[in-house]
Amino acid sequence: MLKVIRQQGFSLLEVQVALGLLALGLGLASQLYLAVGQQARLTYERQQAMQVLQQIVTVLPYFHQHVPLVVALSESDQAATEVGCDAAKACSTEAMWMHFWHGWQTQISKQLPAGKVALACQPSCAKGQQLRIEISWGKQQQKACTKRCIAVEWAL
Amino acid sequence: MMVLSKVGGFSLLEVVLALAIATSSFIVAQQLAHGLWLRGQWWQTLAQVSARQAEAVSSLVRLHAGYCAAGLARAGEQHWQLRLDQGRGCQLIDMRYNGTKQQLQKRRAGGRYSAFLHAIVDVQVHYALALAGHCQPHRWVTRVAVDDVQRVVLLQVQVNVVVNGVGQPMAVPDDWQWQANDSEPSLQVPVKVLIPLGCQGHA
Repeated sequence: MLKVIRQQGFSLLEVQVALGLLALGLGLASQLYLAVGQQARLTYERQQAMQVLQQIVTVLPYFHQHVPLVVALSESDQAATEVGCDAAKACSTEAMWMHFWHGWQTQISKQLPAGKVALACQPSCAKGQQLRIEISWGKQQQKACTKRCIAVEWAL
Repeated sequence: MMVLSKVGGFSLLEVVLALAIATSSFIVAQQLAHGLWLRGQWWQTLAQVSARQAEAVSSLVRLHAGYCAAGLARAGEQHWQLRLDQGRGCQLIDMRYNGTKQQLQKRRAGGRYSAFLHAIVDVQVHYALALAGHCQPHRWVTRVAVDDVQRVVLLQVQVNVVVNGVGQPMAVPDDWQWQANDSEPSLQVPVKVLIPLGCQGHA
């Protein structure tokens, strides 16, 4: 008498499909994890930007007539505006305003990757016109202020 | 009875290859998992830092929002006295930094100090003075004589908030301090708050 023993098991295709589904599941789970983490990071970055924006809005009423000084400067000139008004040194109003401005730039560039703060008058810096304060960071794909950017408008 | 049993098996080469693939897959998976875990720790740290910073900023801004005319009554190093509108007229509120308890403390005049902000170090208080007859700040000082205190137009409080029990940071900004020596690692993160005090008693 001849008895044939057959061993049961999964076919190669079944194993491949199962492995594929497992990899897909793990990939989706890690994507979700990364997305949540990125959101936490973005929230932190926005908070840093909001803190600086809050400082700018606090100080602007004292210096609104000197806003054109900053608006007129190019980016490279703005980076070299530190005038040293710390440590009890008396400064003119213009120098104090530039001191504040330099402080915000330093703070933003330290805390946010490729962070920039900019002021723009629309259409001019005359009294009653709108001043746009914009803080942006990271790689900006478009000119519009969207994901890594916050902006407010302030009446001069 | 004759039993014909076909038992399949792997060759030595196949077994070695399978083991090599399994080992390398395991190592790659372990590295990925470790990287994800580190990132998770970092994001959790950022969330904790955000919460501590927001707490410090909002507490200070909220407290000073209700100042009365001539907001400051005294302005010393790491301590100041505010006139706050408490609904029944202006009350004097003392603020001071207690270094041993790492607290910014507050009290009503004559009362006992209680904690206002916990777990903070390196408190620096600066006052922006305006020239007599002007409102624009022209000088930063760390203390002001009582006669000149009405010329203070801005109060700047800078503190380092301490965030305990955080994981190793991945990319620490320049002004953060990571301390891993203690039994509980901690991170010190600066927070700066500017508080306007109006422009009182000037032309």
